[in-house]
Amino acid sequence: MNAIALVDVRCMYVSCERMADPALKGRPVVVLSNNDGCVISRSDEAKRVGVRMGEPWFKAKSDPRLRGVIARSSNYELYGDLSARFHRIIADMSAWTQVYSIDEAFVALNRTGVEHALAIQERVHRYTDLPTAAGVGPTKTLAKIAQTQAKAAGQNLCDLTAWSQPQLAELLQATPVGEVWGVGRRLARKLEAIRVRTALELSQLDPIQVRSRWSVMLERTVRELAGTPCISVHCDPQPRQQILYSRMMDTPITERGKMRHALAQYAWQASRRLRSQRQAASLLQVWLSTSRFREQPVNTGVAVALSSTDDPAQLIRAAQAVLPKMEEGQPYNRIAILLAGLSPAGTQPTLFDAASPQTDALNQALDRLNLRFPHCVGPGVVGIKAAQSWDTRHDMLSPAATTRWDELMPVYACVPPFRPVRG
Amino acid sequence: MCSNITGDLRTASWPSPAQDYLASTVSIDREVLSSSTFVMRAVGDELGEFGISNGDRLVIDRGLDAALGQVIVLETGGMRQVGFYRQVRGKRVLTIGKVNLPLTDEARVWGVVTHCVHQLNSGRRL
Repeated sequence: MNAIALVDVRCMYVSCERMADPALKGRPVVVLSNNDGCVISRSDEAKRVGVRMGEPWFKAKSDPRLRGVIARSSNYELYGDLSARFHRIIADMSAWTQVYSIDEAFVALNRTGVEHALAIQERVHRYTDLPTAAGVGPTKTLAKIAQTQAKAAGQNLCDLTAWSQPQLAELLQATPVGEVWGVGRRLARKLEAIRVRTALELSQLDPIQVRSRWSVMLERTVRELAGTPCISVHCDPQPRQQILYSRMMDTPITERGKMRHALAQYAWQASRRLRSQRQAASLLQVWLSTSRFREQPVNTGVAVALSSTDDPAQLIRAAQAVLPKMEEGQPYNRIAILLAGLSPAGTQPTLFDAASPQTDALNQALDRLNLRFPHCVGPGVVGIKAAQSWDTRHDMLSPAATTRWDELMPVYACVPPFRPVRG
Repeated sequence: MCSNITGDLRTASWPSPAQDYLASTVSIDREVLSSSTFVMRAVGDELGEFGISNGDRLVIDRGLDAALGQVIVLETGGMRQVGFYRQVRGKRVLTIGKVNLPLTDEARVWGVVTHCVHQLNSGRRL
């Protein structure tokens, strides 16, 4: 049986920023979430000086111990391009792979085993300048544990297939059950209640009983921990059950008119996600809220049932149904849109199907336009490119260094001191 | 006759004599770019003798091994420099104008320049 590897880019977002700007290499760097809120990626140097994951940046930057830490706004255009390269390189080198996230891929290794994993890591670094870590194991679940172990030990690769049985048992005993792939927080609590606290204890349960008492999914996890592959690498991930598009706004919105624009923008973004996975939604929920830190936070929301649709215009109208509930004068700073009841687009024609062939053609043209000219065209007020005052904040945004002709990385054909001439 | 964006030609009457020879228009992307290439903007005028001017876009391939006699990119001191890779008195250096930067552990090859995009004319199309 061939081994399975989970390959990921080390601190992906920071590594991408360093690829685009090598001056960041060797220095403490963090990347912030949308609206420059919290730390979502840290370099090893930043971890060492004590920046915590999820820490609000406004607090961290006033901490004298963290002076010298460099922050960047999240630049998803850059990360997306490098992520696509990462996954393409892996797919070119492997017969079976599964994209697991923006910076992780499962690979069914060929018969050279670890050599194959090392060759992938070598080429990803060679082609993209991104560092990777890999976990290798006989199953996906064990590969995931190996990857965590590689990171904890500061190694590029951890190969559990080379470990002796006692060594492996020791590692599984040291792994809390909640950290096992596929065991969520709630399930972990239930398992702990019956004194299953570690991955080792979970692996020793009787799979048949686990299936009848818990679920087939947990049975598979138990078998995988014991070394029997049950979750194939090339199986497609489950299509997403819902889409949540939620953002904080830099400047709060108090007027209904402006909120109408913002809702159009957000519903448009959510609809683009929906369309990119070729799904249609039958329920849209929308919430507006003011800052959590205010004395009397205001929240309001509505749910709108739809005849299964992926038409942006319908989704925008549905999102704007919350407007009458908005209290004018309140400083709303968060909009969240949830699309649920998803089904493959075009499979559920209903009695009240509103989309005509013309709308379909129009929407497909919009999809194509957006691929070529991002953020330029959209229905109604969405298409205006000028930055809106309520747009999210990204003060420390690096250039779109690999995707825009005008923002490409500089390479110097002169020596210091530079006479940089704008080109 | 109409043609859609996939380039297939449909005729209402006679089939097009070209229909068995359809190919997409020549693409510079396909010839020049791959998953190991990056496009970067040249800053500075010291490489005029290699046909590289300030503001030109360079295609840099990280998949190639750098050989002496090539124009390559070096990463050093937190920035990337482009120059001519050669040997001077037994030492490997990057020559940029009159300066020779020696290759060290801190100054490493980042990629090989494969193409230079230099704009000659621009203007409004009719």
